[in-house]
Amino acid sequence: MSRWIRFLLVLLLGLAAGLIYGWLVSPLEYVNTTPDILSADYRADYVLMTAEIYASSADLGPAMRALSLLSPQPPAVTAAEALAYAQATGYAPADITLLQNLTIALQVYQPGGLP
Amino acid sequence: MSRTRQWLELALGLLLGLSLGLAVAWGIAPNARLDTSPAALRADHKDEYRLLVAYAYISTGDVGRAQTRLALLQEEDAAQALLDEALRLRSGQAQSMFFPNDTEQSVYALALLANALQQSGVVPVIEPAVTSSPVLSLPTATFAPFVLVSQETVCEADSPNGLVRIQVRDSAGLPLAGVEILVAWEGGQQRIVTGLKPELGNGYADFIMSPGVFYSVRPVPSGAPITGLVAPDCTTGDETIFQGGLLLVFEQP
Repeated sequence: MSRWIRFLLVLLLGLAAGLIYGWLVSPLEYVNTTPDILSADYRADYVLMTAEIYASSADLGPAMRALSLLSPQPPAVTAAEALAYAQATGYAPADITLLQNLTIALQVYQPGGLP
Repeated sequence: MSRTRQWLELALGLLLGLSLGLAVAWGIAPNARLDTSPAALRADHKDEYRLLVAYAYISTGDVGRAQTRLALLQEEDAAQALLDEALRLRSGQAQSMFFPNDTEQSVYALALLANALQQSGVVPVIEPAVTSSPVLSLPTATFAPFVLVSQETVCEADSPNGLVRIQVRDSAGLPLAGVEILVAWEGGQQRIVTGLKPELGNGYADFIMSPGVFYSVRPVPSGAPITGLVAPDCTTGDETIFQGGLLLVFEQP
């Protein structure tokens, strides 16, 4: 076997080892992130918290401000996505009702800027 | 070619491949999923997250759910983190983006949840290890009533005039943070919360009495208020009169 083929083989071996280590054994971890890259389940719970707060305060301001951090989409769309996720994954009926109420309130809200 | 040189070339090739692989895996095409958990949030977003949990707790009274949510932040002491945030808000070091005009309410929410966590026995910051079954199944944070066990006049010329110091303890005599106290006087009232000056104790809260005004004080979960509180007259060594203060100690029976 020529020395260049041997060199290429060990190079590929090293490349494979590096990829396996960097992708599987010790993948890159994000820190100091923003809420918009939370995974779907955490996003849904985030929205649920705002729905719980809205249910007792009837104030859409905190919900709109919080949801604007979750997504560049309008808050009503973010809430609707969370509602769809909650329905698909079997959230408790009371929680789904809270999310529905928030979604509807956000959909009918006529924004003139954040309250 | 010498055998040593052959081995050196192979080692070089391996190292080069390894470096290339790591550069691809960590730099060029990382496998990091853009699906993070609240634990990865930046500090200010964690603050907002805690506030959402605290306000949601006030809305639902579900301390178990609040605990689960706070656990996602993977902090060693969730209750202390809540109290620290309350202090940052109160001192103006931090401001909430979600609740920009409700600093006092935010402080109250954080302190209340901190207390509920401590009461539940899951976050053993102040209380010793719970030997009986913790009250995790309770739907809301509950407090046993508090009773006034001590009321003293404090004459300290170097303290603010009319300062009322309040200490709130549990049945074991340990200080309790996050207890809301209603202070009322003719024509007004104020709510204060224990634990916001941790350097003076987790169960400590205070307020200033105006001269000649009668006050009543009531830890919110307890029954009758302590009424007729007024700043006492004190005298210094050279017979100068000044407004003294009071020390009230409440305990759970």
